[in-house]
Amino acid sequence: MLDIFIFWITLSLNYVLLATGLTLTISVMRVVNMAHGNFYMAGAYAFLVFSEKAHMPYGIALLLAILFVGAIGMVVEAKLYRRLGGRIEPSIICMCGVLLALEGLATILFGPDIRGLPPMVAGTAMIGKTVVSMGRLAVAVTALCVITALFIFLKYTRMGKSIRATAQDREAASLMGINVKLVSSLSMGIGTAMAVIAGVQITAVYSLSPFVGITALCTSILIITLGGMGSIIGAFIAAFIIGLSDSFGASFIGRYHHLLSFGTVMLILLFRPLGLMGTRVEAEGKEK
Amino acid sequence: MSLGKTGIALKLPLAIIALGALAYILGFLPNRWQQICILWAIWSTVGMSWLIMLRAGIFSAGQAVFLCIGGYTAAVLTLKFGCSFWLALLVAAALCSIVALIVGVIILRLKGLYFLVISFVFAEIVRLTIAASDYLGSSEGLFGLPVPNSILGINFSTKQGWLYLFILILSIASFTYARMERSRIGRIYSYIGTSPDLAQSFGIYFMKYRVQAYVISAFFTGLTGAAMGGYLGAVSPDGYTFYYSLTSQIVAILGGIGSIVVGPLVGSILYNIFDEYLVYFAGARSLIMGLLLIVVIFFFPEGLVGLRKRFRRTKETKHVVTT
Repeated sequence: MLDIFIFWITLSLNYVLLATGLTLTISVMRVVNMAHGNFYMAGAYAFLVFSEKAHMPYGIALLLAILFVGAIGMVVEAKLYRRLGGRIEPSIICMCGVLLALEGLATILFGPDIRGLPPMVAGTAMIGKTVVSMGRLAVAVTALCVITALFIFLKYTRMGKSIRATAQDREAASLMGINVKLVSSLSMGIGTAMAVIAGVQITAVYSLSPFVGITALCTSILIITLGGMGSIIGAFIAAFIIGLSDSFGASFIGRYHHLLSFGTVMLILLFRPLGLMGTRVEAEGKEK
Repeated sequence: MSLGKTGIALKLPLAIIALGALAYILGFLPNRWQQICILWAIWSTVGMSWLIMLRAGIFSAGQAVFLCIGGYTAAVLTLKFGCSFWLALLVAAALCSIVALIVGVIILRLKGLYFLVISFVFAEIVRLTIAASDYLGSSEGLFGLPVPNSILGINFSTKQGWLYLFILILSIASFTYARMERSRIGRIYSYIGTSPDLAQSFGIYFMKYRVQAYVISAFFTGLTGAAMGGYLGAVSPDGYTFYYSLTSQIVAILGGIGSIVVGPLVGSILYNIFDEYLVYFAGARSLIMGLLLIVVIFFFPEGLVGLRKRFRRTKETKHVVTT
């Protein structure tokens, strides 16, 4: 029981990372980044290359993977997305193109086989009578640290405030002298970096193949729809709810647990069509 | 998105004769090209079905779900209940419409991005649930579907018979869509697609038309899906991934979204020829399709059909300049 509980916490914290990354890009770019799941996959592969091929220590490999894939994300934002002028349909299709291209590239470079990632810390610990893998605990702690850092960044720094202002009203923000282009690139970079961290950590628990991106995208979309698009607090709460179905649900119900999370989301959407924390203003801004 | 002015509906009898002749001639092609033609007909139908929803302002990222439901319904009916393939085909299409009606009433209340993401999630969840069910063959799927009885002397153990069937489905679908596009319904669709609030203020209850578009689209996609399952002789959850939903968008966008019928018909030719030659290089196929999609969005936003128009326009302007 305790091990499932720890699995739930670990998984949910990483889901928070994944979903916060997506919700950050949505709130600033106003378009769902369909390639988010594949940045997650690309991050895990980049990490694999840095740690196994180049024999770098875990931390440095992770950092390099974040910088590398984050840079790809920023280039995609600056060179592709921005030139479409925020129109929803072309942007989504363009992002689907990026998704396919990343998946294809990963298949060419690494083959379609399933792989495992090394854990952050080897060994196990005893909590009461339960054996807990240290790797999972370390993952949970890392995720918590990153989330806290992100919260502090968004809440107190000048750049974080700019990001929040741009998310609220792009035009007003640019009138107030905020460099909206820089903010867009940066939030895409941060969103991608979040996906990379989540990718390296979650695929170490499950497995890695070029096709895991779609599953990750599905999970993060479920979370942000449940929590309300553009709301970070909502993503936090929703990640724990969806994590519940993927950990406890998977253990007690078995393979049908996807239906449980989908059912939950549909039920909530019936009563709150904008999700738990979504507000009318944000949603209206995005429909244009 | 403007109304298409293709005139296919007016030239209908001619089109039917032409298609019949086309199908007959295609029947003499070598096997490999018959295969390409079958896939062309399949993806044209599915691309059109995606496009009619887009016309009504519904941007779906989960078209594969109806292929999946249609395919599995037909497979279960023929394999487990010994039902005739032709009955199963109709039941599958009807079931898809009913599912679309029930689900559509809930999820079509969501607009824009919310609908997009939920349609994507819906397709994935259905696929994962089917993969979890032992009755539906879990992750391996159902295989060994019986060959349908011959009808009107057409033998379905060869590719030729299937080619006729898919061309028939394609003709019915394109006839329906062309008629819809040119009628009042089509105008209402493009109206609620471009400005739903204004349409509502004119007394158009747009929810009704959104659900209608969704259900019609699901009907033809389900029909195609059921026939496709029968043609391949197997259905498996891996056959209905997000890639299939993307394909329905790719064929429509490659061809051009200006006209519901012509765009997917043209785009599907290009897509399937590409696909046929890249099928053995799984990664390269995704990579090239992805890059192609980006290139089309940036440089030919009106698709291949729009390219012709653009060419004509530049010619006309040149003419004006010289005189």
